[in-house]
Amino acid sequence: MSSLRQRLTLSLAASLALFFIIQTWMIGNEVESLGERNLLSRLQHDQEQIIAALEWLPPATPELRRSLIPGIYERPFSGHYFQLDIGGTILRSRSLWDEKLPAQAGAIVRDVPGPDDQRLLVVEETVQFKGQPVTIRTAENILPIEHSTGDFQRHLLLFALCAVLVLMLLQGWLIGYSLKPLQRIRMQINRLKKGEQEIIDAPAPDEIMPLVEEINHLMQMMQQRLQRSRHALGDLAHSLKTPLAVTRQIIRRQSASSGTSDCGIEASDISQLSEQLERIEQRVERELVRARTAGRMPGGQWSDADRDIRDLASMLNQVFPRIDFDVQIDTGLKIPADREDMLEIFGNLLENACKWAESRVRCRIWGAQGGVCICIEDDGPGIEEEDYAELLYRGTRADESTPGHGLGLSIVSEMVAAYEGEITLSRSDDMHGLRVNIRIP
Amino acid sequence: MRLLLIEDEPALNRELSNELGRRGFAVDSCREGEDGAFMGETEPYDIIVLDLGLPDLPGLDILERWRGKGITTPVLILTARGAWHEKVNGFRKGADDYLTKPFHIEELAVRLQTLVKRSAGVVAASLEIGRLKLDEGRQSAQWKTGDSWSDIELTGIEFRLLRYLMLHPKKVCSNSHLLEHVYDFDAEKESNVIEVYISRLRRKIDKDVICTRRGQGYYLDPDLLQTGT
Repeated sequence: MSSLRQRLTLSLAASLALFFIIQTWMIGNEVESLGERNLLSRLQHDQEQIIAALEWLPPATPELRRSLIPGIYERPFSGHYFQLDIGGTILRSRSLWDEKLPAQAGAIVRDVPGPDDQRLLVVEETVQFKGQPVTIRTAENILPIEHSTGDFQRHLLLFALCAVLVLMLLQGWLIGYSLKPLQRIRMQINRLKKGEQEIIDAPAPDEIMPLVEEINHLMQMMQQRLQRSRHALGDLAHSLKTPLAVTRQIIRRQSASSGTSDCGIEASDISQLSEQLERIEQRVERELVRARTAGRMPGGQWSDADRDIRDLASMLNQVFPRIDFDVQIDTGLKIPADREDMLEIFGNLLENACKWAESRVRCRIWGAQGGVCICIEDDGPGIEEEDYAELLYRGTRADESTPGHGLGLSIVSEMVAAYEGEITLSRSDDMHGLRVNIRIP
Repeated sequence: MRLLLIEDEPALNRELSNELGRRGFAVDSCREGEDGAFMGETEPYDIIVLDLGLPDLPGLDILERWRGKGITTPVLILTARGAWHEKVNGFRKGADDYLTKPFHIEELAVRLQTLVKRSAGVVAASLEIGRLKLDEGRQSAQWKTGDSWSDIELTGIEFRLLRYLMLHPKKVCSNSHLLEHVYDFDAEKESNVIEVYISRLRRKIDKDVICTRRGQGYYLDPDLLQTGT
């Protein structure tokens, strides 16, 4: 059960239903026993009246004075019956017609089959009349009472059902109302993920305010940490690469003079040094880019992609004046990614394209179902299909460090992976050079 | 070609100064941002190499200052950080090219030559005017007589002088102007040195290659070089 709303609704509905079922059952029972108590007292009352109507002087035959007996006992199958047993003489009410009340064990017997398919409640009492024991049994058909109790119970149930429904509707509304702040915060978190906002500023109830504050605090901390680590990495880059640049110049100078005898280093050593240096440079570059990557992070958005890409293109245009750039970007496109990361991706890809292109580079960015699509094409020689994987994943393992081109592509593919995106290489349909497709969700 | 190099790391500064000097640039180097910014404002440089990671004054601030004062000298920025957003920022502040450390000196030289040519309005990859061609890699000139090209070796100063004139054809350059663009700040300059080199160039290549406008200076006449076959 993952939704709070669902959970509340279900548990409240269950408790309501349980409450009403128990209530209905209890009330039904109570009503039934109340009816039975009434019935019993009436039957006992009738017994007294019938005994009072008995006229008997032994050894004469006992007789009942009919006028004293309630009329209901005179109507055949009226549902009210009595039967007297006076020393073997049986006197029955007229309502019994020819039937007899069956023999019974116990003072009160319920559910006795009676005449005309009736169900009877029979009460038996033995009294002393003129020194003789007289057994009197009065009975009443309980079907009508059962019916009316059933009806009552059904009505009660129906009412309970309606009440449950109404209460549940009310509850639904109440739950919705109480969960509204949560809903707002959930929407804001969604927007946060898309980078449309940087902090959660929806008012929150006291219970979840600490949570919201903590999220905001964490986001802020993450941003600050990213800034700090990027700054530190920049410094590190500076302090590593300047010495590397110096070393490279020295090696270059040595190799230029290696033909002459005054240089103390062998030519083969120099080429090895230079190769090692190249490897260090690539490793450093790669790890720095890797460490700088922010990756998917809530609250980040590249808002001015259009301007950045166009500036990037015209900058590359200065360096590669032969290239004709075709930049197509959906207007108002907002990309939920870190600007520095994206510039790194575009910088690497566009520069690569410029290096290989004959005269044209095309860069398209558009929003699509569930993400942003990027397509960069050039009219250069392109790359053979079997080299695609190698180019994308070159240098991802520590023991792999083939120098040369394409490091940019593998850096890009790593950054795309940090955004849970996809990168595919193919051949451009109309420009016939390399086509790089990237999708960032 | 006067070049200003602003780089705080002493070893790299020294190496680059030497290398660029050998490649036909008159290099003034400087290790502090403030000094560099001032030099860039006061001396007539043809190109500037600016490191972004200076300890006293950020390179981008210097660049912004220059551009704010209307100095249009092409600037190549050197960055160790190598982040693209930094390059884009540099470009927005007015940089013309970028190079990430560590780099090959050859690449730097090629980029600088391209930048200089571009700022002089030359689009072609090589400098060529009519019968005269300049090989920037070998620092030599080629001269066409009839159908064949002949190589002419040039000394450093001769090369710088010829390149400057070729980059600004038709422009009349005075003695002192040429001195400023061919020699670095600290070089010993004698007043008649330009005259001496001009006449040497004329002797080596052709007497028509450089024209004199009396009392004003020297210039290169492209029409004369075209028709002279």
